[in-house]
Amino acid sequence: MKKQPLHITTSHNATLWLLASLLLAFAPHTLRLPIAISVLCLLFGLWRFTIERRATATLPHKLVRTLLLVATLVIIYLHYNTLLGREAGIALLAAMLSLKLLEMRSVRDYVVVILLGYFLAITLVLYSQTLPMAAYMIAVAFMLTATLIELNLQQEKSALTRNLKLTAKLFMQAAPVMLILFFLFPRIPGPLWSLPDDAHSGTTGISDKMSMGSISNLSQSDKIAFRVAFDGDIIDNNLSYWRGPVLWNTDGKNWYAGNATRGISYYRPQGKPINYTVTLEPHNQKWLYGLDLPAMAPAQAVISNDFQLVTQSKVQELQRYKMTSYSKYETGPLTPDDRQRALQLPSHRNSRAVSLGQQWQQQLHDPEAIVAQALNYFNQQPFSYTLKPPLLGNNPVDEFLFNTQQGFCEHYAASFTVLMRAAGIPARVVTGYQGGDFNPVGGYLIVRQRDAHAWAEVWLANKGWVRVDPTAAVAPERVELGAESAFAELFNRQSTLQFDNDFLSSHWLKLRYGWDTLNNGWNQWVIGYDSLKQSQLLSRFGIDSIKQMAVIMAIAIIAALTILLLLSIRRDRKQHDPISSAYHRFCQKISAIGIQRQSYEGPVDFAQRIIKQRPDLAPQVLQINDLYIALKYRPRHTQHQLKHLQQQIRRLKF
Amino acid sequence: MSQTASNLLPPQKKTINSGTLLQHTLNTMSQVILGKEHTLRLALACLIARGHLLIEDQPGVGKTTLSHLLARVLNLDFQRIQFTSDMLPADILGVSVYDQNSASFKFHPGPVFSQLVLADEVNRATPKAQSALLEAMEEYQVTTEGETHPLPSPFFVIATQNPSNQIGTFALPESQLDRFLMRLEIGYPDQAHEKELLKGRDRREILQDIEATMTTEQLLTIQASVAQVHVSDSLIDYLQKILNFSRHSPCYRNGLSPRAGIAMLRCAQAWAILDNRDHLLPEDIQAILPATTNHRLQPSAELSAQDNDEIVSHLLTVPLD
Repeated sequence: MKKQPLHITTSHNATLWLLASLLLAFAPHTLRLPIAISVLCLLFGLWRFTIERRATATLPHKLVRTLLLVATLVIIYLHYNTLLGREAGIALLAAMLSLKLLEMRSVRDYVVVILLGYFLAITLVLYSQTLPMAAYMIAVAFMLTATLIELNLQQEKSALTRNLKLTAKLFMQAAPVMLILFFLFPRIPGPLWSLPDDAHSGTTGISDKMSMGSISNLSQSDKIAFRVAFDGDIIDNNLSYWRGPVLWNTDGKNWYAGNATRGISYYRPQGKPINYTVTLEPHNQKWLYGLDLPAMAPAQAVISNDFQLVTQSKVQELQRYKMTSYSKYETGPLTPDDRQRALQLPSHRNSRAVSLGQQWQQQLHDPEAIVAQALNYFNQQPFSYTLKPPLLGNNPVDEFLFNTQQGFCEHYAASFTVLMRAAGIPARVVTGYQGGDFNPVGGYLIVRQRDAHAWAEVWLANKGWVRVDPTAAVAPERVELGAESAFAELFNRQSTLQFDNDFLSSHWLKLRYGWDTLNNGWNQWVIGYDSLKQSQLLSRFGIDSIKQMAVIMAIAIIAALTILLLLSIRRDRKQHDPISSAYHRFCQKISAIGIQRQSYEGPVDFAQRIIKQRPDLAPQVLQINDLYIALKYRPRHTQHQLKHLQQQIRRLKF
Repeated sequence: MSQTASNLLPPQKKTINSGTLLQHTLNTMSQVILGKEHTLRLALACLIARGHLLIEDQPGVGKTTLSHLLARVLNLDFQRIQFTSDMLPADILGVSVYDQNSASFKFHPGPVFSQLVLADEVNRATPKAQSALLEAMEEYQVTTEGETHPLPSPFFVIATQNPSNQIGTFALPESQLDRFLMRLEIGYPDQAHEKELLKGRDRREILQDIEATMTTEQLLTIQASVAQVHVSDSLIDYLQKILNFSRHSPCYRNGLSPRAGIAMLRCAQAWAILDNRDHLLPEDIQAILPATTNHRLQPSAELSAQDNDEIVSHLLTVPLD
């Protein structure tokens, strides 16, 4: 097979820089992409590396490259059944980029690959927008920029410190522009374009369906659900119920939210209002969390008549909202419709539990006494609170209440609700979070997935909906101290380092809280910087609307461009020499094939060097060279010659 | 660089005669001194630019042969002065001797009154004797006892120095080095050419067979045409940039003098003539730059460890425009 010679027009060092920075950009993707694609990409990179190391370097033949391209496309298509979307798109980008390495020859190719490298680095943000990832991406961009510098200032010796210094300088120069654009560029409420459907798969959190065991699975996750900053004092742990989906409907096994009616919801608040700000991590569901009971909805949500904060679209970006809640309240009467929903029970399941409830109703009559009886039942019987409840069959409530008696919060909430409905008391399950740890460094509450909780609400004639947490009857420490303390042994073994030494352990804790404070700041000010925050910031400077800002920005940009234009016109006038500028254009064209004129290089030497590398260009280059010399260095020349030179340079093609 | 330029550019009609003459001369010289085309070309450029040449090299590399050869091909009369420490100015310039017949002093010209003078081991003589020669080089005339005697035309001095074995020598001071247009090192021949040298005839014999390639008139015409070579403004700027660089760069103890600038320009023009061109190119300046500056520049104290050649090469990186 005929091999194409590799005209290495760029330095060996630039290739090594490029490979290193691409590896850095690609590294976080390796585990997410299919193994075959990751391995292929790394192999292509390694191939280029070995080519670079050999003295007589040859690139693979076009046919080989085409075959590799087809094979790669087939692998990606087989794996994803598409070439579009986030996952497949990134696989495609990475594969094409690494294939490009095998035909990278001229400076132009290198520049293309470097720019694609920046793009590959940006795709990292589709998976993670955390502070460490931002730092990592800056590092990748730094390396890629240093590669660009190495490419453009290639010399015999690789000047590591020079490249890094120059890159740092460029970054410093770019930083003010970046900050100005970040803070002042008009933000549009909501995302500018929507991410592909698969972008948010794998986000954990509470769903609108509950079955026995679904929350206990969640409870092993250390991930942060949301953070809360209180305007006043932090609330007591046993009031810290964060309301999520309210589950009305059950088939005896699973619980469903049903259609939350967006009717009028009102209640009579008592006591002082609690003001706070929630920063909610994306959870890909259509609701927000608020403290029991929310008094008003933030702009992006409405309050349903069961006091859920329902959003228009799925929460796929960090949300930040101000809330007011009352922990003491009295809700109004129950509509007949709601009463029916709150008493619904499937007839064929959990018959023992139903008959127990009916028995209580006959014995006690008074709903409050029945509630107390039920809690007492949980407390007195040998129930235990565990993260790893045994699996339950078709009559889960019966099995739990009378056989296993080991369960997590959803078991207690669901069973309690079934008992209440059987006893004729309207009841429903509420899911959400309970507790959270207070970060003393940042002064806010961190609520994690492991704080996920389920409790019940019963409707009592003179009180309205009343929260009853049957879990508290079994394991009061869960409610009072939080999930971490309730399962201290388990969590410590799993996630956090345990120090015997008190001093070390307290400092470790401080460090963890400090780190979370930093992340919270990042979320608040960078990820959560939206149109609302922008207008707040702008109003501090007396700019009232985004529109006004846009006008000011436009004026500023036009002014800056005008100044630049004037400066460049002045500079042009200063060296307005048509011969030199024509020759400059010629040098620029030639640099596209990787031959750079040195500032001290005479025209004859330069022409000679071009012809040595590209003998095919000799006639054109010689003609241009002769014309240039005649114009620039010989005593007399004509306007015609200049026109001819300009024409020749325009016509120059490779 | 020279070859490239001549290959790339069509010959100019105006200097076609001198161009071919010089090319023929160079070809002839290359038959005697093998594998040193660039050095020979520089020596010839130095001569037609009316400059004087300093050769600094080991004994036996062909310094004397080069001088003989130049005298031979250019049809110049040749004198060799072996400098010694007991030499007096009169030994070089000549003396006035009392002539009884005319009852007056009659000037007897010394060996310096020759078209091509080889001043061998010029650093062996005392400064007094050296300065006698150097003054003659600068003024193109000799003044003794109130009488001025013009030197022949053309007048060309090749001085040699031995860089090693410095005991009992008087190194030429910088001010006097400046009077030489160029300093050359001939250097050892490469393997192939040395083999040819060892197998071939004795160089002196070959020298005897060499015939002059041009007349003195032709040489003078060529010398006169050097100043006619067109120098564009941008090249004057370029040369000034080089001079300024040498004056402001921390690499050098002292910058290049205006005399050096003039000499470099003449020499570059001569180089263009050798290339059969009527206009100067930046490559001409670059070609003669190392040979015309390396004896004029001293590395500064902090850089003195570096090679002199390397320091001169910084001048070549001065941007064109």
